[in-house]
Amino acid sequence: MRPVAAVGAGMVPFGELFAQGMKQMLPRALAAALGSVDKGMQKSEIQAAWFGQLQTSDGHPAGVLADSCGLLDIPVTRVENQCATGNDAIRNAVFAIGSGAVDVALVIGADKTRETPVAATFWDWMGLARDRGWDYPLGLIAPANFALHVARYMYEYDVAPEHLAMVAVKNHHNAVTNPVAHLRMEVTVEQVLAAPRVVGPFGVLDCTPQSDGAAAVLLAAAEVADRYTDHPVWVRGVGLGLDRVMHAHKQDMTTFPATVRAVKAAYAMAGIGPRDISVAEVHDCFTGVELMNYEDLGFCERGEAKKIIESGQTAIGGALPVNPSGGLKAKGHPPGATGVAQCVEIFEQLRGEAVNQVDGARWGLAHNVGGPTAVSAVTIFEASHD
Amino acid sequence: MTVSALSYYEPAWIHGRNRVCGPDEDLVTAAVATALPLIETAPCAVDRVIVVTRTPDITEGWASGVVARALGLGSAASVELRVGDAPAVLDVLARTPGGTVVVAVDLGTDSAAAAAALLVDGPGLDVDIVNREIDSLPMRVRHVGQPQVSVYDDSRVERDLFLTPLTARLLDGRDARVTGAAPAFLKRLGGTPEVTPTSGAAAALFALRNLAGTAEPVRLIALGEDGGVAAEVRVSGQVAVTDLTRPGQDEASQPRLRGALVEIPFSMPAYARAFPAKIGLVAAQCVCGEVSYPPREVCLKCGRVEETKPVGLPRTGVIYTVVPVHAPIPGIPGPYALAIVQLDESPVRVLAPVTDAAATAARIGDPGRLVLRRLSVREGVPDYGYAFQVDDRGITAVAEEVAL
Repeated sequence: MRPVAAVGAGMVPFGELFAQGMKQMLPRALAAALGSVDKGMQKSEIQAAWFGQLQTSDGHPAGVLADSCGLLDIPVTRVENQCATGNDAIRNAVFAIGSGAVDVALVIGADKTRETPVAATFWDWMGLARDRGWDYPLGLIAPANFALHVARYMYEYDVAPEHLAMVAVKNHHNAVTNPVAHLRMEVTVEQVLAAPRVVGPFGVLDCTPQSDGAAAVLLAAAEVADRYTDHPVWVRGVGLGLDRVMHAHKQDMTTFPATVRAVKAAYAMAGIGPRDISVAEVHDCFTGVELMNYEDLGFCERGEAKKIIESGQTAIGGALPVNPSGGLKAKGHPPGATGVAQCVEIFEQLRGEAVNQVDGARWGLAHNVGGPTAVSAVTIFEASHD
Repeated sequence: MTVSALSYYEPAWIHGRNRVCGPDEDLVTAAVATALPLIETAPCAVDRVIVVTRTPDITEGWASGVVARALGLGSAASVELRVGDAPAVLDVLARTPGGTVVVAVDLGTDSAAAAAALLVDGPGLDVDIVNREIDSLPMRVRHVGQPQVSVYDDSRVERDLFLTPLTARLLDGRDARVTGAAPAFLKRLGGTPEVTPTSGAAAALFALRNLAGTAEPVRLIALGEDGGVAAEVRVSGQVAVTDLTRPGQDEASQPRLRGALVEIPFSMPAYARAFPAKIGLVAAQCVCGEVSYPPREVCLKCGRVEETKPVGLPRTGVIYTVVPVHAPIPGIPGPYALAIVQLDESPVRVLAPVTDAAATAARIGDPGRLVLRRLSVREGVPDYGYAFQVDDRGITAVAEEVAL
């Protein structure tokens, strides 16, 4: 397979974007990505596009992208793989370029979670991920979906609510300086613990906000990358993993096997291991999920996540900074855009351009886990050697 | 006919001096809860269930199939719904052949209880009707489709024009136990009042329990809205009594609907596909031995396709993980808890809401049992399934032999 490089990346700041529909967000995200290309890129140089979106808003996703961005002459494929959509869209484009089918591809992700009243949103989004006959009527909303795991994880490994709160404190702190983040405010452990309860161990401040947003990455084959930049970021590994869709069928709920499968494939493809990673954007839709991710991604041993959050290893300046952007927790989580936006952050980190720069970052990892905790996607990037 | 076993159920929620239903209970769930222990322990095959209530909550689309599946009745069994109160129950006991379970259910907004009797051809408690009076004084009238009950609100009229003369005719100058009217009435009607948790259909069966210890035949008078019966109750053998009532919970901690009413989307084909396994608690066992629930077509262990037989699952288990859901979910009473339960001596786990408890009460490792409940109402259709009821050490759900 041909090496694939990211040559541009940009996004619409996440938030409650009531004034922007898909037809506004998509051209703006594309313009931001094109504008980031060092030597410039014309829209007409894009040969194919992959569009990650979970919940259709404003109609037929692929058509809306082609129409609103003026991309009628190229194939557009909509990718939907629950919260792993963004990194799965990247994966599909990487294989298209790697195979030689196209030289330049656009990956764009977008979602609007604030298009319906909160009451309707619960059932709308639950309907995307639940069995209509069995678990849908039980009200297994997204926080409950993850809380069932985290409650068992905390029970088996003696993890305290304070450990979860530390994740929120870290990620909110990172978001304060990030202009594209949805929630740019500091929180304290005490505030997180005292916040109104949502489900199980999660209070409001343990949960991702409901965000709107869009993000775009421009990928190019190695042969043409130098037309666009002298500092490409290389996509070295991609992986997708699945797991049982019903919670009652998950044998060990202290882990997400989908993540373990996805990251194993991505590490193997990149030829590296977890100790090589310098910076990671991981799926912290709920605080406790970030702790479980540390273990599933191999950043520490099973049950050791509480130690590395306590010791500050995953803060900026630590041995392995995680979610320097603020993560889903504070940067925001429009599901289709989330994984792509993680790649935007890693692109900037590996070029030394990030607002919360990790010094000397060489290998970066982006990770999603989602749906009924049944799918995960991982992308591993490497910086250019200067 | 002869009653060989009795069971009694009062909901968990305390309302003043009475018990009332939780938001996931209705006629179907109360009938199943009460009849199940009698069917599980019946010495003979049960092929008929008769549910008697004055106020059925559903008349069209009534879930007799749910009752039959949940009770594990065969396809030849019948489930019947009868509108009536205490006299109707004694009538059914006296006239129905063995192999039948009679369930009497009273679900009022200020008191609720259910009771069931197993009828057999053999020794037990014999019930014979000795007198019957049909009468009518429509003090309360409820029209189908109208939520309001028309009440002629004058208890003296009800007592003096209806209950007192009716009771006198049924007493016929003898002493008798009297049931099937409000306690305030019973005190003044003559005879010996029976204290029962409700005064509708279930009162007749609660009164039977109160006859424990009487060696001589006893006359029992049951009053109802359209007349009454006098029965002679005679003891010819042992009767097993099961009390399913658990320690009460404060009604204030009951989950409640919050926020705007939202219709939860419903798919009848999805309901139908899930129905036999979901309501019957039936898994699929592959010829290799692997058990799957919900039943799978492809065996995860050996890869065989649809070479399975249905197997019943145990109803008891232990909580593997549980979370209280505090966020208000439109259409679902809350706060409530969701649990994943590891079934006893089975590889199967099930996802189930925790019932009859405050949202934060259940813990990982708590034992309990699965009980049929109305899990949701979706576009008006009741969706039944299993909820998890955590064991309480004070529960007296063990059958005890009582000599009547």
